[in-house]
Amino acid sequence: MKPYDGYMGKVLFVDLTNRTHSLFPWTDEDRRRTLGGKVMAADILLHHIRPGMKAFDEDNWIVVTTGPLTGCGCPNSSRFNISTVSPLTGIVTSSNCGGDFGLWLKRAGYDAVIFTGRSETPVTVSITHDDVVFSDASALCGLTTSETQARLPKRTGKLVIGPAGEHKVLYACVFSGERTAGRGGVGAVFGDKNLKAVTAFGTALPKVRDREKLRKTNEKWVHILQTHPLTGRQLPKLGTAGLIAPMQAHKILATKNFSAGRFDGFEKISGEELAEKHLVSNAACTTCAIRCARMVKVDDKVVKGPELEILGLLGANILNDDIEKIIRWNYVLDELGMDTISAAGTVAFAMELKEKGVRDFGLEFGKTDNIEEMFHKIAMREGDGDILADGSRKMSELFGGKEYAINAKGMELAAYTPRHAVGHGLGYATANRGGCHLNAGYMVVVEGLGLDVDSLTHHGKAALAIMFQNLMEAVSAGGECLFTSYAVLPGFLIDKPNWPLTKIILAAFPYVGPVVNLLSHFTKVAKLNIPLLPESYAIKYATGIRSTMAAMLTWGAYGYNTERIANIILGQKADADQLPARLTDEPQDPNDPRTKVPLDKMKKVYNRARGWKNGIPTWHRLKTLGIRIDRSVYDAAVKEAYR
Amino acid sequence: MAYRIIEEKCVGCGACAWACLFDVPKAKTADKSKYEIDAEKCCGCGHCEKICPNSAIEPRTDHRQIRKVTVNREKCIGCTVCMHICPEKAPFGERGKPFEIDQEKCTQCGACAMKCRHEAIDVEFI
Amino acid sequence: MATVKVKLFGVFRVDTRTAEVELEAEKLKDVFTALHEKLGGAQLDSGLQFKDAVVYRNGEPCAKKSTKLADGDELWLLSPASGG
Repeated sequence: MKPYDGYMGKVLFVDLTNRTHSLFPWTDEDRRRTLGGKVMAADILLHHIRPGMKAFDEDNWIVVTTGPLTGCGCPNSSRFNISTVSPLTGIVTSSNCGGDFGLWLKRAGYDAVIFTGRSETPVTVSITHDDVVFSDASALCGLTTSETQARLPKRTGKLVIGPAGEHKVLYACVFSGERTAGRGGVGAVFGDKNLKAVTAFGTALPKVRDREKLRKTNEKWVHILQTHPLTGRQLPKLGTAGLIAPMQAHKILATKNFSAGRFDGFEKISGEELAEKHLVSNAACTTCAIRCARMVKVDDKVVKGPELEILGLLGANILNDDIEKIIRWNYVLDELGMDTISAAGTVAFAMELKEKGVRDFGLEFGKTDNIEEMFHKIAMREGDGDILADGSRKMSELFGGKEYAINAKGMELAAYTPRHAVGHGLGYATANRGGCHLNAGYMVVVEGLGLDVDSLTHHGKAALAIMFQNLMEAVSAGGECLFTSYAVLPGFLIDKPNWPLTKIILAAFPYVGPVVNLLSHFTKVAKLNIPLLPESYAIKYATGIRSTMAAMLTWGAYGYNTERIANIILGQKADADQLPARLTDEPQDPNDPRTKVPLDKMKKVYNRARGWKNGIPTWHRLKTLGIRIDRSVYDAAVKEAYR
Repeated sequence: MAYRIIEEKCVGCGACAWACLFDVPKAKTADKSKYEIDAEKCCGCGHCEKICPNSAIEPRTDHRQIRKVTVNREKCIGCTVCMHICPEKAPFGERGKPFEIDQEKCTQCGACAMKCRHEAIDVEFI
Repeated sequence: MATVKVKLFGVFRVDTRTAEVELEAEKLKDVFTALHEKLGGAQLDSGLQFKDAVVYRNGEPCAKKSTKLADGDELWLLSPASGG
């Protein structure tokens, strides 16, 4: 059988302790089973980790993986993944990024690169198709992310950390161009390994199986993206920032540390305000046909502007209505190299600790003049910054306040508050990497922001969450931006919310659970491609792998279960899928008891449908999916999870 | 052979500017929503055409096509730059000695000739 | 006839370059007509019309076109789709 195309066919393995490199074995069978990206990384990590492995252990691996479509001419295909044991959560985190590094890594001839060990001194690793060079990075230490990148060769792909990564802030991130692998503290693992920067350069491009069919698919794909109301209109015009107003309307704009869902000053921090008063121009990840990023001015420099998350979390969530402050904080956090979501969530928690008289960090809701200084302190782990650098869960263990330390599995939640979108709450709780809205299956899009399915019912939410979680895993694994998955929601359902047909379909949605579950179980039913999901066609024409909608859902389920069992082995306990009590026990609207997350009810259905028990995949489910694991390892991990 | 970008089809994704080994495609406007290729600077290696998601790049009809690319062994000092820049890895040889181009692998893109600092690569046009 | 304040959001606001409008209208559907006249419906992205908006009235969802409006009502017109 002809080897797959689309891939470069090699995985690089770099030992930072000994400064050596070699090839990591990875076959076509591995490719067919995992596709690429985060699913490939999960598989690699599952077979490497051991019980109790920690993020800052020398043998924790940083696994950087690309998808097969990257470099094949597909739109929105620059996305690559960084997976590792997270210092913030103690379990696997997979962090996705739209920067150029993945494209360049493939040009250097590699589909992925794995880093192990720890360099004795700060190092820059330079990867080309000929060689891997280790050079001294001392001159780069202390530099911001943009300063660091400016000192590296121009025509290369780059991964860099800023001061926050160097000081191992538990939510430090990694930058590639203007984009970031933001969540889970991957930057801290780089810092722990003294890996200040990585560069990649090459001149090759992947070969594809059927160039003509792929070309036609890509053109159709671009056309879909340009004409769909979300990707062709809303996102280019307003960016992700355009979500503030709809979130306010739907009462899911996290306000004052998630104590409310609406903020009086929302217009001042909205996407409309940003577009009208501060937008210099749009920007895009390389290969993107949507172009949603906002370029703004800070200190006379044109820099990447805020996304939705920071507008909500350093706006409504801390009772700040000054968008100029947010624009500046976004720039500062980017330069320091920190996850804006976790930084903001930790700051909000600190504010509430002060309000409740528990501990005064000088941070107060609505007080904005000392926040920038605190971000610097966090990045350098100075004074109180050293405490905040560990995140809100750690702080709640020290000071109390677990009920309002808004995190899941140790990772702070995104800007959507789930008490008015309960399916999204289920998503936050069950997301493998912690409080992530995307790993959650991004249920808000179904519960009001795209479609308008009843956001307070628990019916059908488990089934929908599972399907979207799986689908999004696969979309990412192929190398694609998650915004391409919007096309799955037909344009007319979104654009004509008041049509009778739309209303009927939306009313029926909560009851499609059984049907969706059938699709997930009996994937043979979905052995077809759907025109609304060009990616499955593109995978077929680029690689030669027999890709279908069913294959996408299967790769997704494989990835989700692989990460989940890896987490159990790392020490995650049974029934770890939880949310803070504020979100599950107290109704957001005192007059409506439905406005809290009925997590237990939804989890019962979720576990059953996933083939899990108390958040742990059953042996049977793992075997059905073809996940390779020793029975003894599995049994030991499960036993430990129940202790 | 040089390429051109069909303006109506360009979506401003910047993939061509990224792919080009010689930094030729440039944004037409400040917001980078359209790109263009300077025909004088383009060597026709075709990487941009391969990476464009909307088939917006096509070969110019008015530009000269290359028939053959060979190394001038008298001028070549074996610096290996041509081998590194070649997308097909067609030039081969020992560092410090004159190189040769594998005509089976060569796609006549001319990238090596553009990059050679010793005028040691001869290009024959159709 | 009621005097109502209409706040535009999303693509409606970006396309018409208008954040807020005060109108006289009896029912919700009259608001759409009035907006079309006042702001020029042709400015909206192809195929989109004001009546496709997701409407909130005084902070609550309001989908019925025949809703009778009252003086001082504040309407929000949001993009049909938001995503992010």
